[in-house]
Amino acid sequence: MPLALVLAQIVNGIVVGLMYALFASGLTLIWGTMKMLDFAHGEFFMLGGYIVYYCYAVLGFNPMLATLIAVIAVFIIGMLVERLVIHHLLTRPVWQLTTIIATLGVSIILQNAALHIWGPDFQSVPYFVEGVAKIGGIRIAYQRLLILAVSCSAIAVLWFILKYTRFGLALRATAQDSDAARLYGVNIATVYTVTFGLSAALAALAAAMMAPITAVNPFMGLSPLLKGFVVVILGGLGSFTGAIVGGVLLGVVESLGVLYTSTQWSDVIAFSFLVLVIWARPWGLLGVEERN
Amino acid sequence: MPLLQIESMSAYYGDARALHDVSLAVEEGEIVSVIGPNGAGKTTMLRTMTGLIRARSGDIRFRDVSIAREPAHKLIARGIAHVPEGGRLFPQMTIRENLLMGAYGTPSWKDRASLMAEVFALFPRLEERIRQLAGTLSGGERQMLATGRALMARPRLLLLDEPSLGLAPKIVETILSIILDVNRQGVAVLLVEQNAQLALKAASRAYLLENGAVVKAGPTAEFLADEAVRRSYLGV
Repeated sequence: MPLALVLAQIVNGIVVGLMYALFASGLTLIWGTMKMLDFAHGEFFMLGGYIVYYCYAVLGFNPMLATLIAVIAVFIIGMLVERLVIHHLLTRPVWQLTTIIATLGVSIILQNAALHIWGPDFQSVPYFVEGVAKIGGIRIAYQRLLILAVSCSAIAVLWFILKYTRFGLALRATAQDSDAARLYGVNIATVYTVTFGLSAALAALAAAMMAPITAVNPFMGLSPLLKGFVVVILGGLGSFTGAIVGGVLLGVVESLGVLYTSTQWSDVIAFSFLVLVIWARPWGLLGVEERN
Repeated sequence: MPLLQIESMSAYYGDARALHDVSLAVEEGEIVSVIGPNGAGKTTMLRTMTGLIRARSGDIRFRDVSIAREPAHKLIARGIAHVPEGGRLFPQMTIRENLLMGAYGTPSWKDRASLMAEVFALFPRLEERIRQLAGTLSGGERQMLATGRALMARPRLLLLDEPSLGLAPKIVETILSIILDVNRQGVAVLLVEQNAQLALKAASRAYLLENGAVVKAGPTAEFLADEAVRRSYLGV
């Protein structure tokens, strides 16, 4: 097998993996802070895709402006969903279960709303930038380089927020001990709302970047959701670094695997990889082993 | 007017009453102890005062303002710093970040650098390990950090839940001397302790809590002279 092809697949794997990482870091943020699973995460992805499609492909806005609109709009929608639905469940008994059912409900509503508004067809979105770069012997579409740059910046910004801002401090405090956080002045309800919005916005950003490659349709959120859970479990539930490492690793393993089999096998490869990893480390690559 | 006044406060876990008509007061600048056996409701009392559990009846007044309906996260800015049992630090945060959290919800956030220097003067050991994660500290260091975090809020009232729990006697001495230090700077202290010896030594007044109710209150001298208290709680 030519080396250039393998290298090209590795680069593609990293690009796809960074999308997984963006998507999964939203899931892990919610799990780490609110201790709940968000089954509507795929639909925030889908909404992000449609908003970019509408603003860019239909209305003809600048693609980066369309992306910005999608991220901000989905951030607000995410906060609304938290305030209107999740917020009322978190303080009640069996919230671990009710939040799963509620987010599944939100997911179904959003999917069907999209189906009603935009129909079942795939809508294609043009590349943000045309052309192909040749680096060494490898050909990479500029769109993929753009994805690389945008997702790396987004991850860096998110990391900076978590590590160095006052809000990041409050978020991490809430994640580690919500009662102690309350005693020291953190309004955890607000933290939950903003965290949920932030998580949804990350999904929307991933969708905006991927839309030109995969096209948009009402059910486009399903596959990333499954992969997102794989990544989150792979990296260690609640670990931000784990989601990044797990995402990129999964992307690379998948695209290298596809080289030796075919694209239909990519899910098989992803899940086999997951099974192998959690067989050896049930708490994930960067998760902390829980002892009770 | 006392700094803190609790009037016939009751609290429940589900249908089980955990606190029965508890009344208690802390004057400005005073150290008050609450002693009592395990399960008497001492921790519940503190958690109810700071809003982690809602009082079902009674009133809690701080500087003559009722705080019984106040959300937990607003009390720190009023000047009540609660150091929960075991410290309840943020284990994946550094010492520095834990201390910053102490100032998070208060006007002292803008003075966080000078406040941190004050805390380090009290606990030099924390400064040596400023970048270390709280989860990796020893029991004594954790208690120091938990106390330091509370001081970062520049509180008027410090609520301490079992600060001596699981600590070596020498470290307990250190913690006690720091509590007295802090108190001399004008901070009132409500000290909840199973270690009655320590609690009665530090405080001027005390309350005895049994089965969720106050069964005795008065100057610590009275407690030390009380035969039943001596037998049950001081082991003499």
